[in-house]
Amino acid sequence: MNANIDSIELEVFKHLFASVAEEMGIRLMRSAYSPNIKERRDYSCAVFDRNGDMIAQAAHIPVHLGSCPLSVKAIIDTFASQNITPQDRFIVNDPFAGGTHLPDITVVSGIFVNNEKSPRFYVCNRAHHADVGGLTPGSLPISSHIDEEGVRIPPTRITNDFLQHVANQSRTPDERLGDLQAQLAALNIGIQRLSEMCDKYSPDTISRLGQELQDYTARYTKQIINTIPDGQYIFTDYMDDDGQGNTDLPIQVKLTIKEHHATVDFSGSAPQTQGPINAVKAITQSAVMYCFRCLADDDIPSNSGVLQPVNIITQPGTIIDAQYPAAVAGGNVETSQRIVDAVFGALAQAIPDQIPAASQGTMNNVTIGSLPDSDPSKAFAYYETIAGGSGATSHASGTNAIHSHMTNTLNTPIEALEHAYPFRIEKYLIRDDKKTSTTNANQGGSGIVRKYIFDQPAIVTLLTERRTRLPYSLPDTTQGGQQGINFYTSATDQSAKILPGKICLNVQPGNTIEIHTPGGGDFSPSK
Amino acid sequence: MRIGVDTGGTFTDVVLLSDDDKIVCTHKLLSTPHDPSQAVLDGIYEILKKHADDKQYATSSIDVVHGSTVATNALLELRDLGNLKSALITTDGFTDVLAIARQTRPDLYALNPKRPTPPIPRSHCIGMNERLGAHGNVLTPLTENSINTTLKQIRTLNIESIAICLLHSYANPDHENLIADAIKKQLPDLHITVSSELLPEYREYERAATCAINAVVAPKMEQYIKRLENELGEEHLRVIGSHGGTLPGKVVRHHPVKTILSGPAGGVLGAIQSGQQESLNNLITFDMGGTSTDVSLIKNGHAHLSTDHKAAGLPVHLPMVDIHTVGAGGGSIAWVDHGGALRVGPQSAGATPGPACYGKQNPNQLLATVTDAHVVLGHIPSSTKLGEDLTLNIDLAKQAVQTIADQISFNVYEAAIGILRIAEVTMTNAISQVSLQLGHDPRDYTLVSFGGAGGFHACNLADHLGMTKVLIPTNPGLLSAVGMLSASAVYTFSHTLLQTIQVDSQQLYPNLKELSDLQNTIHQLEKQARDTLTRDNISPASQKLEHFIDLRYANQSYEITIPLDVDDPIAAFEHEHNRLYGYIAHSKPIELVAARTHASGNKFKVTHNIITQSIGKNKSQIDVYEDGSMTQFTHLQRNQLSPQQYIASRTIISEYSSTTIIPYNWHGQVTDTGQILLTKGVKS
Repeated sequence: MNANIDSIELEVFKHLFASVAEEMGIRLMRSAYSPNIKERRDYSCAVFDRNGDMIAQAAHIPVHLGSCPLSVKAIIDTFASQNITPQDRFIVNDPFAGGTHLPDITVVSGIFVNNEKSPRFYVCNRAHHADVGGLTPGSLPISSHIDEEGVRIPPTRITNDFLQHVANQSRTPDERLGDLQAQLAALNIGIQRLSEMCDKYSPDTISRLGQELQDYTARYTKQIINTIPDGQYIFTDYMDDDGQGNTDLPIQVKLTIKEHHATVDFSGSAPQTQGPINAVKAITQSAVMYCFRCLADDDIPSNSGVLQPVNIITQPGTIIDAQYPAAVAGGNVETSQRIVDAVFGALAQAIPDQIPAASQGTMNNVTIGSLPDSDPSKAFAYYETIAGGSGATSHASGTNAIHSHMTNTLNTPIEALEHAYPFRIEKYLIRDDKKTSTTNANQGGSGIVRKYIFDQPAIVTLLTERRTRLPYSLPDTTQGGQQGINFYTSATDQSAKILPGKICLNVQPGNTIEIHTPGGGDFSPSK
Repeated sequence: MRIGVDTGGTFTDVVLLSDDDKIVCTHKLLSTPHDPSQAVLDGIYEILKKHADDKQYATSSIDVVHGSTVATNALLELRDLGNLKSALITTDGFTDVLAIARQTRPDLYALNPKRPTPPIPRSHCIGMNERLGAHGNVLTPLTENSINTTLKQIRTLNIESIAICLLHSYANPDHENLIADAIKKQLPDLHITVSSELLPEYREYERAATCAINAVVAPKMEQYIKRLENELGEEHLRVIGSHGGTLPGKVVRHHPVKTILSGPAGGVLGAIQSGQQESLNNLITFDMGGTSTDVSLIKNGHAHLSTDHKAAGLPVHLPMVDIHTVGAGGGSIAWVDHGGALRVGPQSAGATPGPACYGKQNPNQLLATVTDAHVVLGHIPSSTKLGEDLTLNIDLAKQAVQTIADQISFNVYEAAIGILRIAEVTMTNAISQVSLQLGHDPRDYTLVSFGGAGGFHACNLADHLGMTKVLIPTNPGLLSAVGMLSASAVYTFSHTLLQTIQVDSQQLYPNLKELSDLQNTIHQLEKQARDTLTRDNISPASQKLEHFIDLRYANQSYEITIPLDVDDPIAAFEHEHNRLYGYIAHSKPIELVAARTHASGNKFKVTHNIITQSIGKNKSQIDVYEDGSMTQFTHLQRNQLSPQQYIASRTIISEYSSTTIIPYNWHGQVTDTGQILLTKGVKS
């Protein structure tokens, strides 16, 4: 092993940095107001060096992995020429300036040592807010322009007035303000803990170890890439549609493995599309980072080092590198899943026994909110995602009803949900309609059935995928797992109608919506 | 005469207390996992025989306090066998509540994500046609017909226990009770768990899992507790609950899940008892064994309780001593990963083959453990006996650590120090989680160290956390059994209020203590508490009641518990919120979520024998690696120490099954009761 590495310090500081990120998350969860943060834990916390490169992220939400550093860098780029002070807190959600989609609001703070003029470290946390304005409650509309998706916050220095301004753009301003306050409280504990580390070990030691941990993860990733045979592997998967009538949108990966490095070229992907499934590059970066991070079978720090031996090529103006004014609400939650499917599809050709068949490939986003003319004191906005089946592997079947790849949010307890909102859940079960394969394949996991019944008129938006194309099986990718289906019944007509994967509709008391989430692909081991 | 019995996975410890509360005899025997009551009863007979006065005591007149890991072991064993002896009844449409859990995966980056096996398989989860709304209102009535259909189904399953957990039953228990009554009538032998009785709180998955675990372990626990009751007399048996108080056998048979942390809770009680002897009431317990380490926090003589504990990866949402466990112990194996970092654990060499120094590992593939690192550094004197047939093999320990040293380009001593440092950072983080992360500064606490490997690391950990005092109890191996003897009956009663408190026109909150709803609730809770304690034969004079309220800002999910005897509960809440989360939301509506009453009897005194003279004065010197070279340390035997004896820095103290290191910047003193109190710094 390289004699310049202190293997002991490395391990000690790995734990120390990780615990700073984790403690921020605990404080955020415990003091937040909206169910999406406190019950579903849709947030991430991380620690960065002076350049905005990530040192450690707590094991929260993978889709935030590669994208948080871009938020911190956007803050640094915007404010570096001005004086940043230790009291300053920053906020951003603009997808075209360091954000991903508008509901994900990131707050950032610098950490100063030795009276230096600029921050030595940064801490950030990102939380998914249940409503930030826009066309429909829940702010994941079937939009065709970013301006329809809610309040867009460029990198901004926070003032109380500005927070109030952001909150006022939401249908639920009090909840927004409470959640933002909880995010700032979480930043404070991160600042305190990292400052204590600097006092104890000297800032230079902490800086050096921050760098060494990134090098460590890079070294680790290189070792893994080394085990993949050199060559070029091409795979294309497709988005069902964009909700605006454009269907079968390709995401193509040309993966080249050569000399301990990987190049992931997305150039063959569809141009950015009218509907809200465009992903900005930050999301593509997160998805690729996630795929390579999964190949490490050990618990290594998730930091900027993962991408050091990985080169990502995208063409600006495509569905995986969208430019203003693209609609991006679903890029973070839906397209991110397909990017993973495409990267794993290519990797499956290189290391067939290690890569699982496709998992459900969607987050089944359900947003429900009050009508615009309803009593403001009873306004509500609800957001949740529903798990599905995971893909089978060469040695085991997949798992039923579990979140896969780019998300890992908890469900909202039905008993909590029915206390807070004017609708109920009638059914929450594992799907039992899985066809039993006639071959000796390992079976993909089954999806979920979740049925909503409404007590009051409401607006429902569904952003779901794998409603026309199946999660692929392996090695025969023309076969697949369970198809997702969305059903609707009205109070007067109990016969179920099938809804499209992406739709916004007004519902009346007694109406039901029943979501059947997709199940993972099968895996047929070679004999 | 009272006897404390602590049943662990390997050993059962027994302690006999005289009528004047002195420990008069101790005994250790092997546990009997196939029938745990066997070792308990044998231990009691054997200790009475061992004690000279045995003839004057019939076993039937002796009070026994018992703690065990039987419930946890039963859960692991039965679940992993795919237990088909229990079933769950839920509301129709929600029978997969256990299988779906919270829909998350524990390992974020697993290519084939798996979650912990549910306690009851899908095939044994039965839907009942009924439905309540969020306020307990009936949406779909429960009919006799549906009850009978379900009962027919249950008969075909050939089960021994059943849990009933219907949606929103915490708000209205009627449906659950109707089903339970029908089962009692028609299938009287079935053990029944009713969720609104065991855990009347919202969040259906956590409530269902807690109840399912109760059902799964019930048949085995019932048999075991019954056997003890038959032999000892029902009124003479008390069992330690996970909340750190004793429970009568009847409660344990009904709700065995309440003892899921019984054994570790005993250790925490022992630490409290140890601290009290030295007038130390703010403690952090540190129990390091062969494969894992348990830590917990004690404030003002009370263990911190929490309700979000996990057993075997499954939630148990009952108030329990907040014990945090990490997978670092004496047997944890060191290795070097692909990125060049030195790692310790989570793999452990366990008891077999054990650390390399035990001489039972494959000599061609030696694995260095934390214990081997101690051997290399001279912390374990070569004369130490490890067990019946084990002697310390220093060479093998050195060889094992050398393989690590070669991989990371350090010498063998530095590699050994590195292994310890990494194990210690894991343990330091565990202590931070029960202290700093909950707003408690460890510097205000004393570290109580026990378990086989605790004494090696106690002073170092204290250094990492800025703590300046370490207490090593007398007889650390028997700490749990002694702690159990000190425990009082403890019950908690709660009532959900869910009232929103608004500020008035002058932005002032009302005085909560004057709220009539709260006053009435407290009155009811008090009556309930006194009745229960009286049934336990605790006289009114010995009954101790404390009232609390749970507050949060409207729409938050996590409450802060405030004692009701403060002057201004709202101010106390704001102060706590600020301390924990760093802000106060001025004049925001506050929710009064619940009132709680904590009821207990008197604690029992346990006095250790006072050592009047030491057994010998043999001091020896040993070489210990410190700061780059070998340094001479004094080696003492624990049983040679006398009360008030000063212990200089650079000392190693050996005793049966454990070792304590006093490094260069620490010193200590033996207390009157034979405990060792170590203090940071060198005595001037």
